[in-house]
Amino acid sequence: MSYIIRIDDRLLHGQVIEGWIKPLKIEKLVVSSDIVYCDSLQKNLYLISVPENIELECLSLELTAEKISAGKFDKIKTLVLISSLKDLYELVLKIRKIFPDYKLPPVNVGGIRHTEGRVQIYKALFLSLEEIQIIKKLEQLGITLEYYVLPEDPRVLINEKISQIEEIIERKLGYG
Amino acid sequence: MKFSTLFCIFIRSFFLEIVWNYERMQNVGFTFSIIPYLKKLYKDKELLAKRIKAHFTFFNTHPYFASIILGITARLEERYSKDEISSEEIIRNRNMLAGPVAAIGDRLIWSSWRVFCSVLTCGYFLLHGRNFYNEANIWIGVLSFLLIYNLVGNLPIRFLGVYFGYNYSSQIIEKISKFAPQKLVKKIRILGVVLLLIISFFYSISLVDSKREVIIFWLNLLISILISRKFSWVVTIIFLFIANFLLYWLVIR
Amino acid sequence: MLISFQILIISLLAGLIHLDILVFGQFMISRPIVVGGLLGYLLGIPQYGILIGVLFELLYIVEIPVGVKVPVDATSSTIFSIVGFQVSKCLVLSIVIGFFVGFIYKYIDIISRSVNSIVLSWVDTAKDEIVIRRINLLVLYGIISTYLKTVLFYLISFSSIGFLLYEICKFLSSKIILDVNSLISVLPAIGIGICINHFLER
Repeated sequence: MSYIIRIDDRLLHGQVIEGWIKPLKIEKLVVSSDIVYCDSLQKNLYLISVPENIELECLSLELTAEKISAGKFDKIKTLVLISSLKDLYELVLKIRKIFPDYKLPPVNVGGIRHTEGRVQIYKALFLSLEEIQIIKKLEQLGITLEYYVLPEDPRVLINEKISQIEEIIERKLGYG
Repeated sequence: MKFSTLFCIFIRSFFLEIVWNYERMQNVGFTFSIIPYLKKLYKDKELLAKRIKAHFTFFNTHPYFASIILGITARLEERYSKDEISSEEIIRNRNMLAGPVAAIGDRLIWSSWRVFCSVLTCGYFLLHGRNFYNEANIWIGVLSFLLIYNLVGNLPIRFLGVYFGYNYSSQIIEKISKFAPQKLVKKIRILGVVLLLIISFFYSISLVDSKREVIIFWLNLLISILISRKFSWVVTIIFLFIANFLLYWLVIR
Repeated sequence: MLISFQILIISLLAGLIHLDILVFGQFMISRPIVVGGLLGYLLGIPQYGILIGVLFELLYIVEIPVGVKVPVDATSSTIFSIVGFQVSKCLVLSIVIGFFVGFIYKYIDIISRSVNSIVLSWVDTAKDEIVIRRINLLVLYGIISTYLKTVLFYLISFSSIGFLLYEICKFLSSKIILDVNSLISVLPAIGIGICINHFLER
């Protein structure tokens, strides 16, 4: 499969452009978010922030699911940007509805940043208890989650660390 | 917003990257910069503190282009004070703009303009030839670098960013796209390559007293282009440095 | 041989120059070419200042601060190389060791950025009347902590690595004989090549 799904709550930003496009020879960027899809201002801003030779598409989660299942992203190297674990879960459910046995490639968890209720797990990964539950559900759906910020970084397999992470969150939030 | 407040935000924006931290990145700098206008809008201490703390959350973008977001946020806060929008909308807008603006800024300024200015200055020195460190006027080179870089890149973006961000919030995207940042990047890069080749040509001519040096110079140039295509700049430098050192130590006497 | 007072003055000045990188303005005063010219002039070796400045400017030309990436520090490399040269008179060795000092400073910078997260809760928990005062104090903390960290870094590295540099130079200058002038004159090509590749990409 020639596409990578990346979870980054900042979606498209400097590091994605400078640190991902060249090393992986990405030719197409897909911003998959219902909020951006409905916001023409956001869409226009993304269009000017992307280098000239890169194709950009802003899609809703439903449209992304349709295109992935139809193999539309298998032709050229594509980076699909999703803004949260919740959105990824919805996307997977939609894909499985269209194509029940579809096997997704390992998903890159590239950056979930600090908000209230989230606890720092790694340098660019902050998770809340709610998100750990979503990760468990994703694991049951057969999704592999790997944490790495840049393509050349070592990959941390989140699936193997679920209980460890849950413990850290509960401890830091003071649950005993 | 009065001009004096706008100017205050502009000056404070120079501190944008202060106390940069991995948790919330530019939050301190951003909050510090927007405080002048928040003080003007909210006279109630409790509300003011709430607005300030709301902005003290994760934020990261290009330090110069952050001024645009500061201007837009000021306008959004104005609308909030009139109960037209919610606090979540302000923060969401702020953070959604930060990403692509960072992408533009990183590519246009750090990756293209700053590199281009470095090329110009090094070019000024290297065009004096092999003996440039004795012949070139240091101050012309250094001061023109600082002036050209800051008067075109740093100061206008920071000031006009706040000004246009505040006064033209809804049309800001159109204004930025009129600038065609990606085409600008391309032009700067092409010009940069041409200049580098011209500089290399004239510099190598000054080495012509020793034909060996000219050959080694061009070999270094070609090999560094080839190695940096596949590997990082660190690998390129270390490899070539060791190669040159061995060449000069063992072979050339 | 530099006397300690000069090392102190240079460290204090270096602390100010480093403020340009993150704390205030990003005016590019911290770029090797500016630092090289300035420091070289102040130390009475303007030609070497500019030589090292141009060399490092070209070598570090594609090292840019994108997102969370902390770049290898060009400023400390330049400052260390120039002072190192003044002390040891070994140009090539100073440049090599200066290059590695840039990496050391980068890792110290990463540590201090991680430490900065700790002070944030001081504002989160502030009462309404003192929020602004605490933010102003944080800004002051930012300036002072960066300044002191940098000055301390230079004082320690000049004394330790600088001393090592001096001794290694004395040891090597009898063993290794090379045409430094010629070697230095071809080195700009490396940086130029890296830059051409950078501009041609994408």
